[in-house]
Amino acid sequence: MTIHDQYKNRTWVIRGLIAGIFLLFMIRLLVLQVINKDYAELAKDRTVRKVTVYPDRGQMYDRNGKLIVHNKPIYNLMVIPSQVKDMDTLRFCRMLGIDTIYFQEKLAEAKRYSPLHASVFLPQIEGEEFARMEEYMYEFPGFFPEIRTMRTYPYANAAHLLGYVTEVDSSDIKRSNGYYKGGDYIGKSGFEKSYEEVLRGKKGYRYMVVDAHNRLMGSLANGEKDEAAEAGKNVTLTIDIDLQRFAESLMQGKKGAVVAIEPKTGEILALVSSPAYDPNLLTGSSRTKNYGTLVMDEGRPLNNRALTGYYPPGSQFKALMALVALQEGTLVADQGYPCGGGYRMSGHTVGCHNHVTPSNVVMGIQHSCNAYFCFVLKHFIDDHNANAPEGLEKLKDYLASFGIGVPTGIDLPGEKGGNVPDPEDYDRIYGKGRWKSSNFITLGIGQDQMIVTPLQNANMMATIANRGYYISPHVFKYADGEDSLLQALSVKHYTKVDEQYFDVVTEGLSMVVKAGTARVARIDSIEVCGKTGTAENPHGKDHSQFSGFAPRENPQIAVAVLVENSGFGATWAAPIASLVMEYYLKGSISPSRQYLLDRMRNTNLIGTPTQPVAPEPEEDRNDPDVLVNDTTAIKP
Amino acid sequence: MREPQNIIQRLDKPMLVLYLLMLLVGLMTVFAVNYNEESSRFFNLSQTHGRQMTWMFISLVLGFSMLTFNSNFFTKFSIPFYIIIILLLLVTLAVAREINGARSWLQIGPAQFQPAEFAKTATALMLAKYISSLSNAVKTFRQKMIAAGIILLPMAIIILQEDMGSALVYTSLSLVLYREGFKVREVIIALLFGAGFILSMLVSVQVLLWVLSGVVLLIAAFSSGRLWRKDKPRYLRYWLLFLLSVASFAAGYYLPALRIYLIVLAVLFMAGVWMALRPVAYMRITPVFWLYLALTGFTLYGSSFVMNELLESHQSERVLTLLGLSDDPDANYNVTQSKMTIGSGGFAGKGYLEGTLTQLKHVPEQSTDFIFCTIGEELGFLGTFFFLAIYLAFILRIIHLAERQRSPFTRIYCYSVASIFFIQVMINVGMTIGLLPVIGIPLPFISYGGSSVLAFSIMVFIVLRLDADRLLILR
Repeated sequence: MTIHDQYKNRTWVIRGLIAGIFLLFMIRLLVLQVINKDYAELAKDRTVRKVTVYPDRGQMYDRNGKLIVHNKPIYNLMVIPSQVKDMDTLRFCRMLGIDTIYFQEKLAEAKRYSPLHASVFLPQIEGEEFARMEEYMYEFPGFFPEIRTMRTYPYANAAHLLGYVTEVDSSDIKRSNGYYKGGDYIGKSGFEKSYEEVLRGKKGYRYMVVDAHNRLMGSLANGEKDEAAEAGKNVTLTIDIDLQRFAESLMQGKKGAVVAIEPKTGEILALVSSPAYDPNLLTGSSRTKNYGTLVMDEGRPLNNRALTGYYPPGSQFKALMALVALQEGTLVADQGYPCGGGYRMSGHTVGCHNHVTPSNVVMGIQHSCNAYFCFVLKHFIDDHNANAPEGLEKLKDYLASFGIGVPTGIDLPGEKGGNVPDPEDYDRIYGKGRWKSSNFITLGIGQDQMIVTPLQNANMMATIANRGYYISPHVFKYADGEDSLLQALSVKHYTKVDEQYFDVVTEGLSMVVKAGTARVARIDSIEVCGKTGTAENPHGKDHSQFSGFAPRENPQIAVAVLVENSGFGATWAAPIASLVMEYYLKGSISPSRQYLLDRMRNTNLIGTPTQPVAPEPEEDRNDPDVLVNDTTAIKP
Repeated sequence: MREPQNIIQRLDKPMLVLYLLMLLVGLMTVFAVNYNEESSRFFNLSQTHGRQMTWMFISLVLGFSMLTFNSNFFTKFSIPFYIIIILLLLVTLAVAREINGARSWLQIGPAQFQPAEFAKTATALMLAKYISSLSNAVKTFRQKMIAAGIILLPMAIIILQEDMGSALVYTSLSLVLYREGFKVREVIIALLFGAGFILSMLVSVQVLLWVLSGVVLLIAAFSSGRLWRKDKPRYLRYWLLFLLSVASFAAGYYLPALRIYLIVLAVLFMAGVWMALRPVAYMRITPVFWLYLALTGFTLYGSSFVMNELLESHQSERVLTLLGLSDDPDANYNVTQSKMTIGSGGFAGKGYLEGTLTQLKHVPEQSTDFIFCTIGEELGFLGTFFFLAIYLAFILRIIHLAERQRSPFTRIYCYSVASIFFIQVMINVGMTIGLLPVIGIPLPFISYGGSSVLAFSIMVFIVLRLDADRLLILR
């Protein structure tokens, strides 16, 4: 049964109504999207801008809580080329202190980068200067300030250690997996680089609605999408900024390095590379100019000699040679060797100087007898080993356990590992199997192809001070929530030499200062242990070196000093090292040593000295460390 | 008679294709809304679009399994289904916690669902059941009241759940009543009831009373032509009403809120349409007129209740904004953002997944209520045009199916479904393009939401199932 459907025609009314409404909507959409551009324009003009909120980079404090690095606000003047309207260019340039050529070039450059996105027009305007121009900024649409921070250093010291911060370059951006964007800052060297992730904090973002006139119209969705920036962590460093300052003052006018370590912790107390520079030079608007000057400087002040300087250790190495030979049993503590002015081999002689014949290890070290340690090396290599390469391998192994020939693992970038020769090195020189201990006999006195950095020297002394272990030297002391970093920095690296052998060597090092080659390093009431070194330098005058630690019992500081091209170890390096020790241990320099302090501070050894070098004290006249070379060189 | 083909062969293919097409569009749009570079994988069930995909899959499985039911199942069970849903709505009203200002979500274990979504289907089935059970078209006042009551009962409960959007959907069923023989003015009353419901959200009681008097004035004016000729004493009260209205109208005119005056004109216009549609012979003021007054009065009074009690202040603000009554830019915010986003699409759009404003979450609630913005921004006018065209084809196809039925039950059910889809699209799209106030209801198949996809799919599959038996007469 079908009911007669008398209202069937009403379907057309309904269909018409529905179609009509849809048609109305389509017309509305046509107007909204195609005909009337108002809303599209509004959308275009009122863009959402993702504004980066830069976190404050972490500040740095020294071990005594003194602020050594902080931030101050600085302004970048940004430009969005598409928004730049007709304006009084001349007035604008005068206000900024730039010329119109700079204006044209910079604007063109920004346009090339992107007409729609902001790029830096004038970087790093300091706060006061900016305040002066700020009130006129509204007259210049398209230009707006971006607040950034700049590193400031209350002490103009420790530039190499602290490192510097620059804008990221394209390779940083590529490497960072999207973290860095153009214009971000990154630690480029030193501590700033190695602790970048601790110091940088976390960038935040604010989504701002901006209108056509570049005015902020408020935040998007009440800021729900915003991500807050997290400030970088404040970090405490191990260095003692006063000691650093003191050591830098001693190194004035000299090329070289000073490294001071607290032996039982491996904490770096001071790390000087000279010539140094004021870290404030590499911040702010004059950074580029200053950087150029520093790069061109003949003294190469940007090099960190403490970590990368390559020098033969010279006689400083004798202590270490004694230790490994004692451990190996090729030397016993009361072993005596004849000297008689040198070590003679068929054909040539390793020279030595006048001193009593060393009848034991202590005397060998005390008088820095070259002949004695040539014998030590010879026996080390020849006694227990089938051939010279095997012996050399063994020596290399021992030395590596002291951080010699391998990097010490300091938490600063760019450290070099120095060099201890391989059997392969001699194979290349003499042919495989055609060399023996006599071919590299001066290795025993820290010459030949042995190379160490000042840091390694200091670390070696710290290891002797600890009687057999070292903790990788480090600069990081504390930051909130970074305990895992600390744990990694407290691992003890034990040497392959047993504790029992250190006493005799320490006695020798003590005698060096008491009655040996470095009597200038004596400090009242403190027993200093150390060893001078005068590294032969084929390019000029010998490098003056000294490394040591103090006090003998419960050592507090180990120091290595190197002064390039300045002569005997006892002349410059030993006094500087002992002054650093005294300053650190006593807090001041005793009046009786004031003359030494003045002499060190006021001597310029670079180029022509501006003042005559003071006469060398009696004990230094006939420096025992000088390697008196025979006319026939050992090396081919 | 030919052997009956199997159910799949008897399905209406265009309808099925349109349905699947819209599911696809919906999924792609939800993906686009939540697209960003970090989560660019499409097959990821933990993402929003992944969950949507899961719900679509469930809907399809459930839908196709429903095709195995006998058509008589739906006629038989429409009454119990309706009763169950009404009970469920009441339970929800009692136990649901408030989410986004409405107490319409029922928590069952870990799952949440909105009984109101399913109530639409139940009401459509119930309405079809009742009207098709009459031996003739809806004629008597009693029959009309029952038919209206079937619609008004769930609607009232949903209003009490403070889910205004879902409640409003039920007014669309007046189109079905019209098709089934209700008089035009009765339907217009119903529509005015809905429109008045929206409009009544506008303003204070005083102004609404003033609007009411304006309506009366118009009625009186229309009647006045008769008043001169005969039965003067009988119409005296209309003259009194007329004078009252003129007085209040004049008072209203000098009110500073001139824009309100325009709204009054709109209301008067609607009333005028109603009067104009009156058959000339039908001179006497019928009970329908009193009903109209009562309903208008109720809705107008109800409006202040709605404005002050039910709607959150920001919702009231949005309504006022739409009507140009508020200068508060925050209230305008959503609509402006929405229009900007759509407008920025231009003719051809910015390209799929290239919607910058979409990705910046420029518009709030963009995966649900404002999802149309994404289509507008990324696909431009071409996209919105074809989208609406597909939707229109879908709705008209359902009506086409309705008209080819032998069984009134199926016809009425199909009309109900078409009307529901129609009003959902109208309110949702109308809101995003600034033609209607912001009322949060989903765009079927497109907006993110499991209950919604499932409920609308079931609705469509019942249409498909019933249509497959279009040669039968179902009771």
